[in-house]
Amino acid sequence: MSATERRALERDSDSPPRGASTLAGAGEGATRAVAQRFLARYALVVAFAAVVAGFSLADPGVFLTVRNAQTIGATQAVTAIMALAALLPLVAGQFDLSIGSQLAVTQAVCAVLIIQHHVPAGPAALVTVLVGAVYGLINGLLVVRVRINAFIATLGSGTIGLGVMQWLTQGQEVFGPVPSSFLRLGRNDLAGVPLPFVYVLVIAVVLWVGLEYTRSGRTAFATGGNARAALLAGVNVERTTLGAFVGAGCLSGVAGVLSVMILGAAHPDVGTGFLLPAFAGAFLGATSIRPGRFNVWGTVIAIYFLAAGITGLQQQGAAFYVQQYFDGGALLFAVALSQAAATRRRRRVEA
Amino acid sequence: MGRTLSDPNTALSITSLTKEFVGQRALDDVSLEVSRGEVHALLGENGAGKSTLIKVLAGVHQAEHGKIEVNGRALPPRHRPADAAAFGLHFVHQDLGLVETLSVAENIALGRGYAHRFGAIDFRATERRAGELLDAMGSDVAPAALVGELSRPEKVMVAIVRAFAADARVIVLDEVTASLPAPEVKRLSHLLMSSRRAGIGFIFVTHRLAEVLDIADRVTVLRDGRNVATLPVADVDHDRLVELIVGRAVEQLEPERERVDGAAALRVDGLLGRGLSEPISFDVARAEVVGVTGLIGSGAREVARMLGGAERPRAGQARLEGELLPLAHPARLARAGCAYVPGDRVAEGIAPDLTVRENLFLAAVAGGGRWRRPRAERREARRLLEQYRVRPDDQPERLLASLSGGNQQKVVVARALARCPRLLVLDDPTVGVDVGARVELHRLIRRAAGTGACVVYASSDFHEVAEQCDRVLVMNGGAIGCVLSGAELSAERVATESYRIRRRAA
Repeated sequence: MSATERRALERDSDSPPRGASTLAGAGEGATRAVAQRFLARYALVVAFAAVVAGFSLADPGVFLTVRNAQTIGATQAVTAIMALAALLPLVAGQFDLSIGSQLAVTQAVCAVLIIQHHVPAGPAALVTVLVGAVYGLINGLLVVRVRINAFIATLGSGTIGLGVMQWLTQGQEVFGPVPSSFLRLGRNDLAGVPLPFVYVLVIAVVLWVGLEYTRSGRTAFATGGNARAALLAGVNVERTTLGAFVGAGCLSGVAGVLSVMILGAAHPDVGTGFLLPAFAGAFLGATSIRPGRFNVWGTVIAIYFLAAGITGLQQQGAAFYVQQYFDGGALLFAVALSQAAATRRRRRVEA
Repeated sequence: MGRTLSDPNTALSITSLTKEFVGQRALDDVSLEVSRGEVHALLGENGAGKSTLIKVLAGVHQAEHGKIEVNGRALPPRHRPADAAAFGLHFVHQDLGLVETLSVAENIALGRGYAHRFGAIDFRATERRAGELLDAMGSDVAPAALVGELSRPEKVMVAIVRAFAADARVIVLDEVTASLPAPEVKRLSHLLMSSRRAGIGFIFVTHRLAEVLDIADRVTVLRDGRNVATLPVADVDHDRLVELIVGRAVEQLEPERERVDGAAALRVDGLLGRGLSEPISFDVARAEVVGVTGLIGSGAREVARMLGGAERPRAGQARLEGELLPLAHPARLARAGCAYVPGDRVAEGIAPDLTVRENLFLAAVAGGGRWRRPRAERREARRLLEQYRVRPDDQPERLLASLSGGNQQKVVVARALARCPRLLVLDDPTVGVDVGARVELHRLIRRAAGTGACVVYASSDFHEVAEQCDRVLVMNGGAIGCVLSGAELSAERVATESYRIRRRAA
C-alpha cells in the first residue's frame, strides 16, 4: 500500500489506542476512557507537581520556600505574557515569529520615553502598548492584505523591529532615574503574591473569557480550525486574523512595560530570547487542560512548569545553559505529544 | 466457515471477521467472497461497518477474529498495511492519491517503479510500459497526458491501473464515484467491465444505488456491523436495496411541492466567471427549489460556488428581495441571510479538530449575540444532532474528525439550515450520506424552502435533482442549456439534455 493510501485510511481512522483491551466490557471501557481523559487533561499539572515535589525533597531549604515561589512567579511573568501573545495568532492558525522583537521594541520605547524624555509613567505605558498594537497591525496587514505567509511576514518584520530597537537604544542599556512608584508596580506584592504574577492572572482571565465565551473567540478558533470553511460559514476571517496579531502586539506592549518596571531599564539583549520559551509554553500548554487545542490556562501552567524545572535544576548546580535544553526539549516534546494525542483522539469509535 | 479448500476462482475471501471497539462491535462475524473478475458492491448506512471492514482489510485496524484470504493465500492474523499490499490488496480512495502535476505514466510508475536505462530513468520505456498496461485494461488514456488534465473517470482508471501495475489481485474502490455525474459513471462501468478480464476482483463502495444496479455483479449489505445479505444484483431492485440497507421499507415520500407563488425573490443577472461561457441569468421564487446540474465542466457547480461566495464572479449580480448580494464577500453574504453548503467538505466545510458543537456554530455562538451561553449552546447542539440524525447524536463535544464522512456532511448541512437562511445554496449536499439520512436531509431542505427560503440546489446526481427540485437548469458548456420543470422534469430528460451538444445561438 502506498503512503497516500495509508494516509487516506488513517486520516479518519477510528480505532481506540492500540493495546487498549478489546475484550473489556462496556463498563470497564468507559471507566478507562474517563481515566485516560483525566490523565490527558491534567498530565501537565501532575508533572508540575512531580517536579516541585522532586526538587523540594532534594533541597527543601532552597527550593520549597516562599521566596523561591515569589521569585519564579515574578520573573516568569514577562515570559508568561509573551506566551499568551504567541497564543493568540496560533489560535487563529498563524505564527507570529516577531513577538520577541515586539518585546525588544516596546521595552525600549517605554524606557526611552520615561528615562530620556521624562514622560510620566502612565502616558509612557499607554504609548508603549499602542506601539505594540501598531506593530501587530502591521504584521496583520502583511498577512491579510499583502498576503505574505505569516512565517515570512513576521520573520521580516521581526528583523526590522530589532533594528528599530537598536536605533532607539543605540545598542546601549537605557538606564537612569525611573519614578519609584512605577518600579513598585513591578516589584511589590499583593498579600504575598508578586504584582507581576497578579497581572499574568488578570490577563489570563480576560483572554480565557474572550476565547472561550465570546463570539470573537469562536471565530478565532474557527479561523484556525479551517479558515476556508470559516469564511464560507460567514466568519470575517481577515478581521479575525488581524485582531489576533493586534492582540499579540498589545500583549507584547504590556510585557515591555512590565519588563521596564521589573528591571528599571531597557536592554538591547531583551526580547528575542523570549521567542522560544513563549512558543514552548503555548505548544506545551496545548497538550493539557483542553488537550489538542491552544488554551490559556495550559499555557500559563506550562510556563511555570518549565520555570520551576529550570530553576530547580540550576539550584541543583546545573549550568546556566540548561534552560536552552529545557525550553527546546519542551517544544519538541509538546509537539510530538500533541501529534500522538491528536491521532488517538480522532480514533474514537465511529458508530 | 466450514470450507477448507478455496475455490480457485475466488479473489478475496473473508471469513467471520469480528472487530470490537471499546465495548462496541463494529464488525460482527462478517463473511464475504469476491470472485475474480467480479465487481462486488458493498453497501450500508454511515456507521454500518463499511469503513471499518475496509480498514481491517487494509491493515489499519486489526480484527479480533476471522480470516482473510487473497487468491487462496491467507493473510497473517492482525496484519499490517504492508502485508495487505504484499498480498495484492489495493485501495483506491475518493481522493485517488494521484499526483496531478505528473503524467499518467509517471503516476503509474510511482506504484511499480520507473524503467531505467544506464542508471537514469528511461521516460520513453516508462511510458511504453504504462501504455501496455492501459491497453490491457481497455483504457485509451494517453500515457504522456498530465493527470491534472484528465476527466474524473479517467483519473479513477489511472488509479486502478496503478494498483493493477503493482500486482493487485483485489482492488477496493472506496466511494470513487461520489461526485461523478451519472453518465460518467456509465463510462467508468465500461472501463471496469474491460478490466475484469484481467481477473481482478473489485469491492465497490458507494451510496448511489443506481450505480450498483449498473456496475456490480453482486451486492453485500452491512447493517450494524453484520452482513445482512449477499445477493446477485439481478435479484434486487432499488427499493429492495433501500429496505436492506435501512432495515425497513422507506416510504419514498413524493416531496410535497407547494405551488410556488411566482414572484421572483432571487434574481441572478448576467453572472460570469470561471467555467461559464455565457452570462447566466435566472430567477428563484420564494419557497422554490431550483436545481442546477450538468456534466463536470458544464458550469453547474460554478454557479453554486459563485452564489455561495466560494468563487468570485467576474461580472453579474444577484439580488435577494431587491437587495444586492455581496457575492465577493462571504462574511457579508452570510449576514445578508444566505447560507452555503460547500461541495468539498474537507477543504471548505469543516474544522476537523474542533468539536461537533463548534462546527455547528462555526461563525457565531448559538442564538447569536456576543456571549456564548454554554448550556444553551449544548442543548441546541443536541437538538440539531437529533434532528439531522447525526451518529452519535448525544456527544456534541466529540471532535468532528471522529465522525464518519456522511455524518460530518450532516453537520455541515445542519449548520447552514439552522440559520434559517433566506437563500440556501447547496453544492452536492448529500455526497457520502446514507440512504436513510438522505431522505431526511431532502425533507429538511424542502422544509427550509417551505418557510419561504429560495433554494439553489446544485448536484451531479440527475435522479436527485429531478426528484427534489421544482425546476432544473441543465448546464451545458458553461451556459444554461435548458430549463426543465413539471412533467418534463425527469432524470432521463436531464441526462439527455446534459449530453446534448449545444448549438450556439445565432
